[in-house]
Amino acid sequence: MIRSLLRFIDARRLIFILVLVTLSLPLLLRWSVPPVRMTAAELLFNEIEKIPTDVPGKIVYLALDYGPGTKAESGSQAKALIEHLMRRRIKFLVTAQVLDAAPIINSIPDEVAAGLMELYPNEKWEYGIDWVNMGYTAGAGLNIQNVAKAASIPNFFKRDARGNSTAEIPLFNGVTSIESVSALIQITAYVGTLESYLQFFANEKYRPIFLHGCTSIATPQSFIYLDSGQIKGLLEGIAGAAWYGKLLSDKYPDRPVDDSVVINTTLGVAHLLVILLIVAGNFVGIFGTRASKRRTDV
Amino acid sequence: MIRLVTFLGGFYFFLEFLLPTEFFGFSFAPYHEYITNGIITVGVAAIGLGLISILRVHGTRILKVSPGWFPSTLLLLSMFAMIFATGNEAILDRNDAKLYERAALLREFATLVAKDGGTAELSAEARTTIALEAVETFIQELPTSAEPEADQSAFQELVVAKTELQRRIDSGSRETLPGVNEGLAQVATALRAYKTTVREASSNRKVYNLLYQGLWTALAAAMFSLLGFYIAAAAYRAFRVRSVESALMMGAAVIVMLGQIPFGVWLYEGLPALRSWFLSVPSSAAFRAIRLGAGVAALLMAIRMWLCLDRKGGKA
Repeated sequence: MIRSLLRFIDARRLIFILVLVTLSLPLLLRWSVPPVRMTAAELLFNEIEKIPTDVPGKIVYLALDYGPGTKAESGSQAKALIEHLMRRRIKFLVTAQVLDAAPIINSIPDEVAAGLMELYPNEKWEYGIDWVNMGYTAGAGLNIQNVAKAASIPNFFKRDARGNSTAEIPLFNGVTSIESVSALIQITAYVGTLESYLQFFANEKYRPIFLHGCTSIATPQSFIYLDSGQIKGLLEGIAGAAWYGKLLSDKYPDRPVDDSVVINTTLGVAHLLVILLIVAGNFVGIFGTRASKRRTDV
Repeated sequence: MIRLVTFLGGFYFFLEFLLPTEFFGFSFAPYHEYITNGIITVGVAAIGLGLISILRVHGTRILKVSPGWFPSTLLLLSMFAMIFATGNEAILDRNDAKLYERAALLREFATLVAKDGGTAELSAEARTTIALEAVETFIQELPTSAEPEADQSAFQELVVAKTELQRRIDSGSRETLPGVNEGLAQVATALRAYKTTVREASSNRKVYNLLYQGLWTALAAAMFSLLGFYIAAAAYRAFRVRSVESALMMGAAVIVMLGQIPFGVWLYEGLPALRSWFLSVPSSAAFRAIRLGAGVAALLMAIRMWLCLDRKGGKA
């Protein structure tokens, strides 16, 4: 019995079991360790803080280009950013250039607004007044070019994702061309979608501030645009989202702990396991080879 | 012909990008949106081609009961279920939006009549009567009883708004049109709130949520999560330090990993700063070189495609 169990648990199966336990336990126990400081996320936070709220006809253009597969990372980033925008009463338009994101961009602002209204029963965040969902738009770079060149963004879209005429949406009062966009925030899990915005979301006279959130794996690619100043702030995976959440909690102390800190802690434990496995693999590799050599010599 | 169209298409975008907004009195702006919309439409048509392809491949497999017919059946069933649920959601959205739009149009009309009065063809009183009758017809088309599963308080608010609007119409004259306008806004808000609750409780929304949240989201996240297991297995089995380069790579990987997890600072406080340096200096330099190389290659590929040098049997 024990022998057959040991035969079943080979190295690969043992690793899978270890990963399962390492990921499940902190999530089930909701273990949270304060996140590490992410300076790029701080830059993003400060840029949002700088956006004036008293200028009519100004909006933030929020592009959520990710699917359910990266919900843990990109979803946490989107929630934190939308919460910040809503708390500061910055009006925003949400859209996506990937089809997977269509239901996400509809539900996330609703969820965040509901959470805030539960926390502050005397305040209200309303669709059409505080945010509007323009839905998925086909055409990627071509469509982005057209938005940037449009004389009127509401007229370009004509309708929101819920079928309402943009002329009837109060958020668009005073909104004209790209010059009404104070900042572009793009959160993505897809390679190349940020580049489409960097290339085309501007006209001859005006370029909004670009802010970006990416998955951990895409961080090295996004860093080149932060270094060059093309993006002014960056959320790096779940670690960026967790630090952003911490900055929000510092500013709004009544804010409840969000899931990003727990996910970040869990991922941290998993990273430690990966490091241990690299060391163990090399240890076994070196000593295993020596031992087999010795056996061959004998 | 294909070569000519390809060349002209490329030439158009080349000129559109390079030339100033106005060039000897000519501007691309009025035509550009139409041209790009046309291209987007052609691109979207690929979805239709994809559907036909899926139906041919998997339909044939099912009809011939070839190996793999069961997964193919599941695939087609899922596809049709999703098309049905999302299509139905879109139709319901559009129907609701038509009602809100009518309220908006009526408001606009009421505002115009209140502001401008009559026209050469119609007196102010006649226009006022038409506006009020149109509002009355609109009220009659609103829901008269609450859907059993909808939020009853939202329906009550709609009833209150409707009654108030009816009262304003009954005492209607041109002077009271701004009041009717206000009443229409209240009805539109209450209607939107009520319709939202109706839609949330609808069976179509439940099917859609089951398909999207219950299946698609969970399956997509599960597929992505599997990577974690394989990365861990690969870290043990394949990440071996056999040379100086691989040692450097492992060192950088460990520093970047430890630098972004909460436990890294327990070992050394400077790890996050070291991680940032790795990402912004050596890693950025390498990525810029890769991107530059890829950019030049993409440009060459684009030129080859533009000039149709990539045709089968073509000579480059």
